[in-house]
Amino acid sequence: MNMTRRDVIKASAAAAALSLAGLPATVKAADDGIRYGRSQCRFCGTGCTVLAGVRNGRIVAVKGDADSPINFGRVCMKGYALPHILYGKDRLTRPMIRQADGSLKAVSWDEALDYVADRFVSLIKEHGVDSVAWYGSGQNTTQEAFAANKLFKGIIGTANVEGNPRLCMASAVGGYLNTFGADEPAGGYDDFEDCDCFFIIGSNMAENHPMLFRRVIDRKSAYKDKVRVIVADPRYTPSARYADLHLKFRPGYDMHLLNAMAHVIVTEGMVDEEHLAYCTFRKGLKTKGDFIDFAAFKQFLADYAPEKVADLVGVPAEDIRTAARWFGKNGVASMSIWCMGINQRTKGVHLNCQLHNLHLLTGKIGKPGSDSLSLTGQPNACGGTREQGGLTHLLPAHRAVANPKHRAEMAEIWGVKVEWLPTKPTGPAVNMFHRLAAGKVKAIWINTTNPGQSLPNLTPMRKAMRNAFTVVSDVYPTRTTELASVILPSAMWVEKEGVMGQTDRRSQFIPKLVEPPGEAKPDFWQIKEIARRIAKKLGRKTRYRVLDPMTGKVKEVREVYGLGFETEEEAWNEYRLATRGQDVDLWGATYAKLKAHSGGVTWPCPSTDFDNRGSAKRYISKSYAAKQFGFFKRPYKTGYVTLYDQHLEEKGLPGPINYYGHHPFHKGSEGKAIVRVLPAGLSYEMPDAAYPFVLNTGRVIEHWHSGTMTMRVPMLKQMNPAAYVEISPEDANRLGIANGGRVKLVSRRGEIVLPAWVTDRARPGMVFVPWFDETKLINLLTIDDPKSWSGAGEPDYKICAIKIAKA
Amino acid sequence: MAIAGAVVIPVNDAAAAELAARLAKLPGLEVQGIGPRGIAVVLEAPQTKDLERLSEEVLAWEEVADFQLGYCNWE
Ligand code: SF4
Repeated sequence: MNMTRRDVIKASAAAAALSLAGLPATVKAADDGIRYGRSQCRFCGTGCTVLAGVRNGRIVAVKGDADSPINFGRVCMKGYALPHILYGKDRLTRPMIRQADGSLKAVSWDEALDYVADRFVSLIKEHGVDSVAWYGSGQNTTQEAFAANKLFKGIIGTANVEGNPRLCMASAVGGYLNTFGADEPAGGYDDFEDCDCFFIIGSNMAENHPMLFRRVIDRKSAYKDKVRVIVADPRYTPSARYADLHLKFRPGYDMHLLNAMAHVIVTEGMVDEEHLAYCTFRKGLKTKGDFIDFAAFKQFLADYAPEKVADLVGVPAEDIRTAARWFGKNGVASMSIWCMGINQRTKGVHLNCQLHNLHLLTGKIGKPGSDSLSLTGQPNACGGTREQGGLTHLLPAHRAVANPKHRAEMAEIWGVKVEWLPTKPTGPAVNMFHRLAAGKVKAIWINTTNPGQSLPNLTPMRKAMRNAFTVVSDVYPTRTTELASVILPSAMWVEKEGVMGQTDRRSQFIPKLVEPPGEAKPDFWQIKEIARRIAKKLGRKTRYRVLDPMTGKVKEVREVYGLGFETEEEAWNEYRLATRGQDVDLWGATYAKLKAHSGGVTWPCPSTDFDNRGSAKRYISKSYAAKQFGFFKRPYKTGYVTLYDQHLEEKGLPGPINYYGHHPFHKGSEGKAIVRVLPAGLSYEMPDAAYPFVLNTGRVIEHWHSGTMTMRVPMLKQMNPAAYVEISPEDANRLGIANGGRVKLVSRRGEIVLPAWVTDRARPGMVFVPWFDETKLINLLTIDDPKSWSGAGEPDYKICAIKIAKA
Repeated sequence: MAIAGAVVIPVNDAAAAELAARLAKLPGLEVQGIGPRGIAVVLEAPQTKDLERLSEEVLAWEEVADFQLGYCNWE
């Protein structure tokens, strides 16, 4: 029988649908002439594994990878839109330099690269190394981020290296460091299928991490009476729709809520005494306050009895008690899951620590189905920024700029002189842009991110970028490229290769499957070319070497101007070497392994053994894992992960539980986790008589971040074409605002007019505005004041005071 | 042409057959079978926006808990 192309595609669609429904394939997926390559979704931090289909040099189809331990063959609507993000009509395809009259002139790559390198070097020579800066992204591949870090910190010698993950997950890093002495979670995605109580706070997972939320729903559907879902959110979000209990708390009062839950846990016998032996109690954050004992902690919590704080929190005391009992009940596996609602807050680090506290007190960590899991927003914020060290105070693999031993180690690995490296951090992202505005930083290279739309208090930030020498590498025109002095057209997603790392310590490989359009080039290539030029002009030579990926033996050494590696694989191998022996050990994540295993490798993975895909659990020994799980390895479709911490084993650290505590914040706690004793506080700018509303900003299911990609996908644009303000019926009534009517929002920094969406989703007194719409810049209103940042330098995008009126 | 393979998850498993019958009446949608993890369907529409309209319509039904895509071709 002759099959038409339509029949062939329909057969493929039917085969995929039957498999998802759990049915045997009655239709054979026909050979549709499409070549599929395994990749990772380009959007959120879930990191779904997808199969991207190529036909005639174009990506024409996407399917979820059924072998993936992340998404099991499913993908959300953004994932399915992936082919379209490559083919927007206005892709940037030629380098451009802004002329004196403000126009942009297309130039050759050589001209653009020479121009950028000349300007950077002349500024360095005249004003010092801190006059130039890099602002990268959680969407750079790890190799790009590693290359940029090496160029700026290793060759130029400035700590002016920041990235947009500072705006979304720095507080989570602060929380993990303050509590465990090491960044990133103890467990991961595999815990979803063993969890009995999901406590989701400050995250609208249903829209922003849909495939992980799908796993919550699957678990709930399979064990309807056993599994509880608690959603704590001031908005009635799509995630809250599925909750057994929705704690619709007053915005800003979640510190009170979490201390109240801790109070119930300690007073109603839900404390795990055995696990307390692995914890200490300390007042405040970092190394500031005294260590206290459990009795004193219990005394501290007396002020947070649910009945005492219920009015402040805006949730009935009984609901707080119910949430704490569901979460803390003995024998129940509990996960807390959070995202920007916790991180992008003045009290972001405090809130993160409070969530960990609930786990430490109840011992719900290091066990099947129990974990405190901070979700990440971007596909490589963990890999490229947190692990690789893409922030001002960091060096690769959880090393610190301020630590002389760490500098010496990195100088050796990078093949540069240790005296070239900066010795102290400069400042976090927003501070870097403040210094750009003040003229101290004079040139900045912005790569794969859109700060002209995403930074808080945009008016002065945009002016700073316009006035400085601003180089922007991107794939489409954005609100940042319009401010640029030089625009470099980039390749994206499967137009280039790289590795990306997600929420649960996972790294995955993205292959190059198609050519970029026009003259667009991978960012890795751009960084390499500019590094070569800058290094030569500065007279700084690096060591070029090729490592044997299995043994780490050096195959070739010569002195070069440039980064000292040529290909993405060579850069990855140098990075692997940097991680070797560190807690973030990716030495075992060879290219061969990353390419072979769907869902990649989860660190710590010191072993290059092909089937060893790393550790699903941290901080626990093999014997403890065997006791808890009944086994200590979990097989995947290919290879396995261990349920114990391979770093613990490699280093010979004693178990059964060992929170390494090697961070300076942990001095004095020696291998124990720290329960941080934190009085409840509020965000920097709470509503008052003049500005009585809370403005909350965030994302929606159809769009991703500033909409650069998703607004070019006709389907997604049509589904949600423009920003709006979500307002409660009570507030709308009182102000005479009708659904669709125009509303003026005014903060102390800026104003905007938006159409109203009158909905029960909103809590009275609070409005929500999504930030994907480049024609309506909600960040003109948000706060950049350093006093509003969390202890980790992250600005508060969730609470600022505004007034609203019918426009 | 836009073709997708998807699974429709019923709110109530017991009413899956009823839901499948309702789905089968939609132009452009073919029911492939009812499985333990939902109803397998294939959708076909002239353009992606029609496909999206069709999936949105299904998702809005009271008896539908979720609509998940498993394959999409945009040729
Ligand atoms: S859940 Fe996130 S990673 Fe997965 S397909 Fe959707 S946007 Fe992509």
